[in-house]
Amino acid sequence: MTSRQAGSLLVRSLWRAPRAFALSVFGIAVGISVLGFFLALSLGMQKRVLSRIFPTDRLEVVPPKTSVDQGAIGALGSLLGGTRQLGDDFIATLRAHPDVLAVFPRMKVAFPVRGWGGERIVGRPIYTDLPIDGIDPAAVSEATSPWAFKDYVSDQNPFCTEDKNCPSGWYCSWDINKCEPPVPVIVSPTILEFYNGSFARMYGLPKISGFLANQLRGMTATAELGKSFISRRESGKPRQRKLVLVGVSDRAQPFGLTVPLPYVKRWNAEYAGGGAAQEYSSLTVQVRPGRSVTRVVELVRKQGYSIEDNGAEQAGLAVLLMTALFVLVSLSTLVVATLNVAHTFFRAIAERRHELGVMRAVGASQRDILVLLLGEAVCIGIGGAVVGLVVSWLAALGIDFLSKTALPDFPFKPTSYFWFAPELVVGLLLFSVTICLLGALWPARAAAKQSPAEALTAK
Amino acid sequence: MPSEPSIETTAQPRPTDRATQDLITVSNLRKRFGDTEVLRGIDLTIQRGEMVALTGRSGSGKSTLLHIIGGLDYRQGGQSYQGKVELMGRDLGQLTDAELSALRNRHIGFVFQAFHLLSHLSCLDNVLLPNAFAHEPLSKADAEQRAMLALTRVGLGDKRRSRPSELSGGQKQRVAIARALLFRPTLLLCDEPTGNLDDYTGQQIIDLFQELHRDGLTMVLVTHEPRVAQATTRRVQLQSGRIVDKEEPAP
Repeated sequence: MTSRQAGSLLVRSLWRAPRAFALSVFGIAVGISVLGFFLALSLGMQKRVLSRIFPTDRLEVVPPKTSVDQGAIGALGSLLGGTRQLGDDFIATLRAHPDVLAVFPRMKVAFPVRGWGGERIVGRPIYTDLPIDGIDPAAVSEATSPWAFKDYVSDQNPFCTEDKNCPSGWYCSWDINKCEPPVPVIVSPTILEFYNGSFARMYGLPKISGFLANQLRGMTATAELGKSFISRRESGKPRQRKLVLVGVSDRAQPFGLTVPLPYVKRWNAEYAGGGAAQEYSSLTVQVRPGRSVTRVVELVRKQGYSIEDNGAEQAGLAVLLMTALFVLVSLSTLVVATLNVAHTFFRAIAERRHELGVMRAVGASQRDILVLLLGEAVCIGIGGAVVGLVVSWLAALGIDFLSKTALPDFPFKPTSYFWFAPELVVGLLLFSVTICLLGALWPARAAAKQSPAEALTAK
Repeated sequence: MPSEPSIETTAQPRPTDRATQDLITVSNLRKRFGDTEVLRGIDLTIQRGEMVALTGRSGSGKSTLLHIIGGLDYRQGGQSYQGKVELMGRDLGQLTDAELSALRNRHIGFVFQAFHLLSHLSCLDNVLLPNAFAHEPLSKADAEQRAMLALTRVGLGDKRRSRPSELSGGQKQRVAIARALLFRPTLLLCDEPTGNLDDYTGQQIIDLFQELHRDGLTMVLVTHEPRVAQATTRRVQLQSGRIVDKEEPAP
């Protein structure tokens, strides 16, 4: 039997009992739609929400927080010799690990800093203490403007006594009599999300979209080192530095400003002592693509350090558990649907026994009968997958629409909670066809093996 | 995968000397259904061009014999009967399912009491059904032309688009005969072909069979109707799985 002949017989066979075909398709479509919906939701949450909040290919290594983290020996060591510091030695150890792509040290400013600015957003300056940290400029891969994210302080900087001695956009740091551009600052998407989701709503301020975030680049503010609006404590000789927003990067600290590491090192050395300029607050460890963070975590813990608990593990686990639960529900639906397909085929084959006998009499081989019946199962599987996927996609569109129109904005609110990855669509199609084939295989084999004489004379 | 059938895929020319060519040879054929032996040592030879009636009461084993001769009684992994059945010189018990299917497709036509037309297909598509399973199918145009010739031959050229449900019993049987004739078979096997028809319609079918026989087609008919048996050239009577009365082939 040629494939064209088989296709023609198949179509006419399905067409003669559209209701039975539709019922079988419906059974499969219910299971596939539920499965597709929750898998797409899980993928969407992972891709569009969780990965933005908790990057999975990155670790934040911090000094041991408590004696529990270090274990008994570590705790004893802490008591005898003080806490372990994140220094260049440990950075070298991490960089030598085969799963580690890069290590970027971070250092927090260890003295009070206050600042003011933000007129371009709210129309008047905001006065606040500034949490600032520094990161290795190599960690920031995003494009920045109008200045690169790097250290501009150098012995080569021009001497100056006032701003007009300096190139355009630069200013004169009077305390060192050197021209400098403003200190480049990056902020994290998290801070923008929280501003949009909470702050902007509360005070009726404009939201900062991706476009507006680009427009805000070049916005300047003033930082006063060594002084605070909150505390009376002062460190060293207060002096002012201009800051300029150069970009948004997930390498920036979630709440605060991030500047190139050399600035913080110099400032800490000047305002908090030499020790503060040697001790990193954390290390951002980038794992090689496709590698697991597990072995790196083991190394970190063995060395007595901690991993910053950012909730990623718990959030990921929660999503995984919810997905697993719904997938189990969907799979049970599909098991019922598969049994339904098997039952439908048993019944249909019993009803069509004479017809199959006639086909055998006029020359159909066992293989031909098997191909015809399994072909019908494949059609049911494809039909069920297509209908199921369309239904789940429509449901996803509905949920997204409801979220957009009925839910208030909140941090990291996605435009869509779902991701129908091509692999998911193909996988569900194959899965649907497979379960239909499984359901039909036994009755089809039994029908094909039956002798034509038995089929023709069956009552 | 089953081996490719090696039989010829086109109908063989009709022999001119019927008496010298055995088409079917059955030797010591035995068949059981559970504890019941329905065929008890059948020996029978049917020559090309004969029109043979297998007669006997219900349960005498005539339909079972017809099914075995037609290669319909197939069991995977071994013969479902004892003895030897040769068709066109080939031992049916030694053929694979694919070979047997190809043999049925090209060389044997079947007509059943219950017509066994596929209700969802038109008359033309029912007649074309064997072409769907042919190892080397005819082109669509050739197959349709041949199917129309077969339908015209049985007097139903104008019913090509009709569904079986729109036809009378006699017309359904004619469509079944046209289906059996599509590939111009060597042998036509009929199981109670007039059993569901009234006398007048049954006689028309008998007339058609005689016409086909005159054209050289070898036929074996299972029947319990004397008038059908009388229309054949030779009668073989079975009783309790044995041949009890057998006319010899005409010289």
